[in-house]
Amino acid sequence: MINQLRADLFVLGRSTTAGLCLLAVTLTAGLYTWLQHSLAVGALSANSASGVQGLSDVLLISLLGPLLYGVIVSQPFDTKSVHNALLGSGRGAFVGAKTVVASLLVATLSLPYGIGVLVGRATEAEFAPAIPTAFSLLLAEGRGLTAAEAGTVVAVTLTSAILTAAKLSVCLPLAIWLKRPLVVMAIGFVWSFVADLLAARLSDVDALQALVRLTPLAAEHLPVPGSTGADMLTAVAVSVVFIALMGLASWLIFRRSDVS
Amino acid sequence: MSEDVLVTRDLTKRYGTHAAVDGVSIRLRRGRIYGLIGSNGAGKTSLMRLISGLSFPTAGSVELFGSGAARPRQRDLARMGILIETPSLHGGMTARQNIHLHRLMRGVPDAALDERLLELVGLADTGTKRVRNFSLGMRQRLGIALALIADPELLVLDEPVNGLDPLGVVEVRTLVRDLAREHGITVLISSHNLPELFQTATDYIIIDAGQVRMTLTLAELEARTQQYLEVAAGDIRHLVTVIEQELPGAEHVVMPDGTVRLPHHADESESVLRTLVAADVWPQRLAREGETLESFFLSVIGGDRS
Repeated sequence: MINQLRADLFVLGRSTTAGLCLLAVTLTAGLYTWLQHSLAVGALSANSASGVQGLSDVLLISLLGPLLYGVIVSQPFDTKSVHNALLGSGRGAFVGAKTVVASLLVATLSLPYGIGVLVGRATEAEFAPAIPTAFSLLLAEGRGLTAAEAGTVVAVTLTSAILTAAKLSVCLPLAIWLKRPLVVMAIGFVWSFVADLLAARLSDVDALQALVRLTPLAAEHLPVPGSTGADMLTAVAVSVVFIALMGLASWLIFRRSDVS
Repeated sequence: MSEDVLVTRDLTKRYGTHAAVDGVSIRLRRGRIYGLIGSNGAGKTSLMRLISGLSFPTAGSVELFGSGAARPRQRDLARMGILIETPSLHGGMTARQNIHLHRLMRGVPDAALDERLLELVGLADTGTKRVRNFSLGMRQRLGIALALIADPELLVLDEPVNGLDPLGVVEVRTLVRDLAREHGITVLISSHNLPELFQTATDYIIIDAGQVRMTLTLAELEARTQQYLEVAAGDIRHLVTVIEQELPGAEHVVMPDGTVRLPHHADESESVLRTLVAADVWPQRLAREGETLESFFLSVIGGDRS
């Protein structure tokens, strides 16, 4: 699997799609941070907040995350490099490497928002949350940044990044099955919103509440400024296990499927 | 070390009711070049995919390198190199980067291999040119280089000369022969270009409608497709005497129907006629006969259809 991982990272380093997605998220995160400052100082009216919400991590990563899962998994089938990958490492290693690389890349999409919070707080400027996401709440929580607060921002950012990657990792088996990035993107985007509603409804049923809690879909796993270290570790553990399960599901789909 | 590199037994692949590969049993031996001949849709690529572990058989077995296993194991697949349908290329990368990528995938640490393979397939001077800007022939050559990365013992090449110019075809032919002769690599190479395979392979597998119609060696194929001059005359004894006296050393075969075949004079009908007439033998018939590669192939695959 190490060989396949090294090969995937080599491809990733030259991937235009991955580069453009990261660039788009970085620019959007910067703009989002600045617009929330504009909302706070009144340069933007409160009515404009709904427009600003469109730049939030929730929307953008829900769109680009599934695309990246789709591209990373599907590309070897398009280029036929899957042929050599299977001869070299086998199907288990192929799926394992894709699971690790795609999840890490999707998790990376959240980082610019966390960096935006760190920079924004460091400027001691005023911010108003356009939408109550973890990043917006952290940004608006206060002015200035102590070392402890910076640590909290980093911890929440990393937890949120892994949680989001886990939530969208249902795209892994989808991508292995469909091998069409745009279809995966569309389904993944819808899923990211339906999943929250579904989890909320299922949590209302006593018998299913515990089950939902074992998934990254549970609302209680969302990191907020007041989350404890234990809360965040639990969220990370649940996310990692969920991603591993999605990797396993992908392998079960791929282990006996024909490659063209 | 087993001499059998690949053995398939009753290998079958069905898609619904259609059998793409139907009960194929073949045996490939070390260091030989097997030409897989078949028209489009005959099952060549499907068979190659099954052998390479890219698809799974509906029935039957694939045994690699005398493993005794009915399915290709990972460590056996790692001893193969394949080029099936289209080369495995990243269009946005250079030839060198593509080789580097596949070297990482196959776990080959030898960095100098990149340059050696590029030299071998004549792409060393492509520099920073991206593969998406390569000609079809260049892509094919790079695909062959990628198939050679892990120093394979069994090389599976699906239509490797597609899109190559005449010089490229000769280069690939020479390369394949060298690999088999000097490195003992077994090559399974498919094509519907019969003359090309005739010049490359040492053994032939003729496949049609998913079934192996015939397997034969180069010598057997040559015997089956040999051209000869067929002579018929009223007095067969006199004809044979004249041939033996006037065409000394000429191999000749007297057929049951009273004709004489001259296998090494297929292109010398005029001089043979002149010789016979000068010896007062007036042939009733003198014609170049024998099957061409194409007619032989058609007779093999057409047998069941008629």
